[in-house]
Amino acid sequence: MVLAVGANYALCALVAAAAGRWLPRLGVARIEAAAAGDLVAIVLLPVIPIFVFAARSAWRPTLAMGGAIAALALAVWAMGPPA
Amino acid sequence: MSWLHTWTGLVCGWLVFAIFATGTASVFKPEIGAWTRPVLAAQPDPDAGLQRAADAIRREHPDAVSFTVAPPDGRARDMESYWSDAKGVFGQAWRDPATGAAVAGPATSGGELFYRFHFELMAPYPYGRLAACLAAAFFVSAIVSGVITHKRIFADFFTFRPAKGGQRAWLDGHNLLGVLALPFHLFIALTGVVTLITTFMPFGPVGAYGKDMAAFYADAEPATAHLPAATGRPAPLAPVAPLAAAARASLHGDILRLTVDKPGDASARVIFFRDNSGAVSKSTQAAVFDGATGALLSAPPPPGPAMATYEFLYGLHMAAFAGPALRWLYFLGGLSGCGLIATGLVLWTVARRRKLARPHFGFRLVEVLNAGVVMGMAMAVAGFFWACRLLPAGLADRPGAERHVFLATLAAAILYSALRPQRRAWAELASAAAVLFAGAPLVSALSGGRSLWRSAATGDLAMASVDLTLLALGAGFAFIAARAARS
Repeated sequence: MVLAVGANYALCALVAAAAGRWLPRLGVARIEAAAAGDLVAIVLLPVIPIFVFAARSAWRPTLAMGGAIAALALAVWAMGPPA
Repeated sequence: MSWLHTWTGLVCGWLVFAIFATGTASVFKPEIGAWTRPVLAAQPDPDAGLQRAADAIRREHPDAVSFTVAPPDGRARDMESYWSDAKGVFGQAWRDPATGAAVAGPATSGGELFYRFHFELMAPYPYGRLAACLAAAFFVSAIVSGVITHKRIFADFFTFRPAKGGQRAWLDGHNLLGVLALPFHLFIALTGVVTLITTFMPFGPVGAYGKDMAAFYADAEPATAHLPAATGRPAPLAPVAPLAAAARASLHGDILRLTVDKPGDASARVIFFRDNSGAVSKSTQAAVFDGATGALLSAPPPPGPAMATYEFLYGLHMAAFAGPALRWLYFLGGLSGCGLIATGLVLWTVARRRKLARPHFGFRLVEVLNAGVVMGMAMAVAGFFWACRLLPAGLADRPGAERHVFLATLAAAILYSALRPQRRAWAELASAAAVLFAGAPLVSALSGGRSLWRSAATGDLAMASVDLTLLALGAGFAFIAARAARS
């Protein structure tokens, strides 16, 4: 369960970081990208546990979050330094 | 899903209750500030107050390289001010608009105590803020899972059977309070996290700016970014009162605070930040003036959609836009949140007590903390009002002593709850809270404060409202004590 809560926060943090890194490449102002990423993360944070608990076992959603975390971390790394 | 609702509610319940209770009190932070500093009267001319405060700060702190003053408004009678010198030494004082000097009379935390506790929990930075954010996030999860768990939630709204007693009555009460102000509870918890977003979720800015956080803060508050370096050429500071009037016209709103950068230098800047009058959103708009000539230099552009959304959510939480009626709704929503959490915590014990032949340590701990924290927070809030009037005026760090009284009252209530049988603990602590709340206006009147009848006679509604609210809370806790003694 602790793992699921940690994965939940890590996933939201990476969503925020990815949005902050990616949106300026589309011409969005950096401050707008930072705010948009954080706001999406804050909304996701309490919603994800609902899906975790809707599943019969917490392992499957935790593993799914782990996969998403790995993919997002790779994407942030591939995008390189901030624009 | 019921498991999630039960355990997130229990784990964060006491903390969220403390946050809700102090947040509810903070809705009337300026009025509480006025109550704690009874020497101040309502000031009709905020610009003159600003000028007096600016003059006083320059006189008292000639080495200050920047200072900030919040003008009095229809609610706040004092002016918060802070300044810093070239070495980064920081000072803070609450000033009297009539003189510009620090408010006469005993030093006090004023409304700041509840406000700061609400999001910092009196813990060192950033741990208190992080704990408050985590508690708020757990609370949102508890609300959403609670809605899913109670499938008949809207039918439950019309179902309250206090005569049935026991678990049924507590569950009905919990459901009723939950549904009554459900949107309020949801938005206030979510927007609470938004107000501390850079502490709790700093990864958007990290993604966009990397390690260059100075650039992030410059973009977030453009009015104070790119200020010119000191020239070393002295130049008198232009009077700020006429500039305040020009700033209002430029910003199409009222002034939240004034910041003067490098006063007395030719590069001085006078910055007026707009308040959120006429809008829900917290405003980052500001008018920047040349401090030497008084010329209007710039007004930052309006924010983009994401920042505007953030400012809207921030403003929605702070409720600075709200008129008197809406502020009372926020207050009642906060009280209903306290009731929701308290009934949920009690329900946890009521639902398990019958199944346990002999209560184990964990169960007993929950029982003790339920009565101790719920009634202890009420006693601590009321205890602050007593401490504000009764602590010696010359006490060193008197605001710190008020904080100690607040925490000691909470700790004493938890200890008392541990030493007494639970039903008696609830009744006795509720009685103590009733006496503390109802007695605060009397203690105030007898110890240098303005009495309720004098406030009523002079038409000082703000002061009278605080006293009447304290009396009403006293009556409420007396009712709770009577019910708890009977059950």
